[in-house]
Amino acid sequence: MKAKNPFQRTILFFLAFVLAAFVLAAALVVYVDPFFHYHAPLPGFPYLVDNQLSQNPGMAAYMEYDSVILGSSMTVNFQTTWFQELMDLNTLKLSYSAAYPKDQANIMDIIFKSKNNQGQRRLKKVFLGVDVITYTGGVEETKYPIPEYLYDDDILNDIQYVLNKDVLLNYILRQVADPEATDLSNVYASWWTEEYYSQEWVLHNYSDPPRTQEETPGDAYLAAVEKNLAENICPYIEENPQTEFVVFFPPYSILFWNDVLKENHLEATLEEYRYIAERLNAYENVEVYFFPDREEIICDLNNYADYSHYHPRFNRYMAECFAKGEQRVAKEGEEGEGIDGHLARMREIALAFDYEGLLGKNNG
Amino acid sequence: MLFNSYGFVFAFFPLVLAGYYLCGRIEEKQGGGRRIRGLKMLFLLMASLGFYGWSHPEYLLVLLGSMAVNYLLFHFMEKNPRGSLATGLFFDLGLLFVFKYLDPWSFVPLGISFFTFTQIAFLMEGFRGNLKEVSPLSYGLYVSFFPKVMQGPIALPGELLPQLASKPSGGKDERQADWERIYRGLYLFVLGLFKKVLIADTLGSAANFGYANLAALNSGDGLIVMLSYTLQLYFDFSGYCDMAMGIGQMLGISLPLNFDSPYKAADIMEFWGRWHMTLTRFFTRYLYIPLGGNRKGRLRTYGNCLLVFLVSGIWHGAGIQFVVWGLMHGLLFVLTRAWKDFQNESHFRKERTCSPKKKPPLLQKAVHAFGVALTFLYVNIAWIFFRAPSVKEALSLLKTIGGFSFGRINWELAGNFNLDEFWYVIKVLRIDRWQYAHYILMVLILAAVLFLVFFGRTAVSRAEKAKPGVANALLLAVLFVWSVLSFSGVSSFLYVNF
Repeated sequence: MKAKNPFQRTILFFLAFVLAAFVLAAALVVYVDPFFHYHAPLPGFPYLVDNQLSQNPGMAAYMEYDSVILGSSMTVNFQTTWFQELMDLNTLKLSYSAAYPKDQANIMDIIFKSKNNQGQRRLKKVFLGVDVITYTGGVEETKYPIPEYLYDDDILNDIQYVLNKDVLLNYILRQVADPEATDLSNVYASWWTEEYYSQEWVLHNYSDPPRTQEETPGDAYLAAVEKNLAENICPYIEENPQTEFVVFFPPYSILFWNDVLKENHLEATLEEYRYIAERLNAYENVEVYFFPDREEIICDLNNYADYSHYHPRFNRYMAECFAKGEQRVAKEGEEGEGIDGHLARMREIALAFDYEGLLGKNNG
Repeated sequence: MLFNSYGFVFAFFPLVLAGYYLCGRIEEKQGGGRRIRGLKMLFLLMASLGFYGWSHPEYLLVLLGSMAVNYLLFHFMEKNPRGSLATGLFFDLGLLFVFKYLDPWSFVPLGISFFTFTQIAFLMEGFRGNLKEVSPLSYGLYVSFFPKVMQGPIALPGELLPQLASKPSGGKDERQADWERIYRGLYLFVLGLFKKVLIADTLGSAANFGYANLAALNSGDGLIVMLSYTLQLYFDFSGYCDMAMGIGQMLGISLPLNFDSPYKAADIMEFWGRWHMTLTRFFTRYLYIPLGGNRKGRLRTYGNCLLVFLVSGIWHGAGIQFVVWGLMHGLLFVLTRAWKDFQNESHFRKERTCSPKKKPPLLQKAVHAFGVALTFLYVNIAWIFFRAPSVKEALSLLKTIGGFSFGRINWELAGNFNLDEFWYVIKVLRIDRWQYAHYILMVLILAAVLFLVFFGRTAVSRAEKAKPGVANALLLAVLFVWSVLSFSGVSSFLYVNF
């Protein structure tokens, strides 16, 4: 270096070292791209996929698929190989734990703009799990703050991705040192092993809520739900008439209904189910599936790991139903059981169940 | 904007630095014509206001409003010194009180205490007749200079104003000196950045875990949590001040020292001479001395000391735990002072009768070490009240520590020290199978940090003496790159129901 002043020379050396290190780090991140922000996965690199917030947008943008699974942790135990086997679909799972409707809208924005839905190609199916409790919140609310830099097109804020120690160490170097790629068909699957699916474990972790005196009016949730559907779900259904939306309500255990009864909002909850089912079922490209009234599933806590999370075999069961059309809610004027029938059965199960017997058994 | 952000290190500061020296060159080329002379400082003022209002323009409005009122009052000082000072104090303290304790607009402008204290210092010095004419440009920059506007140090007008007066630029020789200043400033900035991002934030995650899980801790865990917070606070705040001084130095403006190895203090009076020094100085000059200082008898002196610590406690935060913290320091301060007064007197009496006996050096060292250890322990305990959400939690942590029930250190607590970059080294060396492997980094990091605190030189003195050369350039580059790569992690959320 030409500089004569030793301090100037030292500063120039410093800048050169820093520049070299940053260029190297950024180049490595862009090349491997563990969050698929710039390109499809490199063939042969053992990618670790374990971060829904950071990796879903990239997967949605750059992977090959013709259908997607969206929803909360109720959807993480679907194996996409089943969808291939049962419906001949190449499905990508993009679950978000505890997702709010806005989370679904964020990822659908990316999905429908991806090459899988451009030109001649149209996305075949969207499987969307609906958790009623998340549709009563704010329209702009996401469950967790999303890493914006992975969701927008601003290249400047990508610096948080390309110069990021966690990305370098945990998603690139660790995978090079210990190459074990995530199996995408079973990505994000829950950690519970078989022994956790037991009544004893479920009741051990369950706390019976105190009784609320005042009953929530039947239409209390409808305004928020209407807004959420209108802003975060329906536009995607309307703008993509060639894509079929398979909307399903997952089967929470009877303890969920114990909560609903104790918190005194049974009618409001059932009304919410009705509103969502009717509103979405009115679209030609939507099928609605209703599982909460499967008494044999929900009343046996040995099918659950906590008050809402069921055993993966029920994910398999639901996938089979999607293939065969079982548990599908009949549209207006169509033959078969409509939403009224399902909700009547649901009310009956919820009201008739012997909660004292179940919860008392544990306490005693 | 934070110093430890991509925006600051990659955009804001490089632009400000380049712009500042460019303005200097323009001034020089124009031969220092009157109009052009303040260009550098005007540029710094604009940059400072931009820095402060970056993400919250409403904060900037409060700052500008506060500066306008204070500057106006300073102009009335000559005509009506008492009235101007009283109005100023009422306005400044009122503003601080309204924002900090009443919070009517649901926001507290960042650094409001610091820019308020800075302006109180200005009015007080004006009242004492220590300030002549001050241009609006100098005043604006004195209050809002961006390295210090958010967290201090609280500079006195006499320290900063002469540096801000527009001087003619000095030509070639000064440019040569500029390079050395920039190098030393950079050195200090990088050390401060490393202290904040890697040391303080690692300790901070352990402290946060501990204070969020008090019921799960045993005595050993409690000690580690206590120590982690004590060290976090020091590295965080002093790291910040190092960065502020470094930035100032690169821009040719030196800011006062705020930390001088405070945990090396052998008694609490020495501690307060080394910890947040500009705040101690502020309270001494503008509260303790106006209260009468030590001129009104011994009892009043001790009372004044106690009052200063009480005010300091209340200023640090709302909640009775801060009062406890302030009083703990105040009481020990007064006791120490009384003991020193007593010693001085008896020493003086003895000196008159016989020559003083000196202790042997080894004993002196032992007494000193004992003093350092005891002061450190006391300060640690006081910080528990400072950090805990309430007195109840503080007492519960103290009870846990005092219960002497030791066992294996909490797994998750220790996990906070397992930085990935070191953990991989442990894995590669295949020590990870050892049953205590999980605790290695906790022990090593705490030991290293304690060593730095008790035996290390301060970042400021390192930067002052650093030699230029490739080795130092490489060292700085490693620390800088390591820190920058740690700015943003990958946020992951543990499995949450639903």
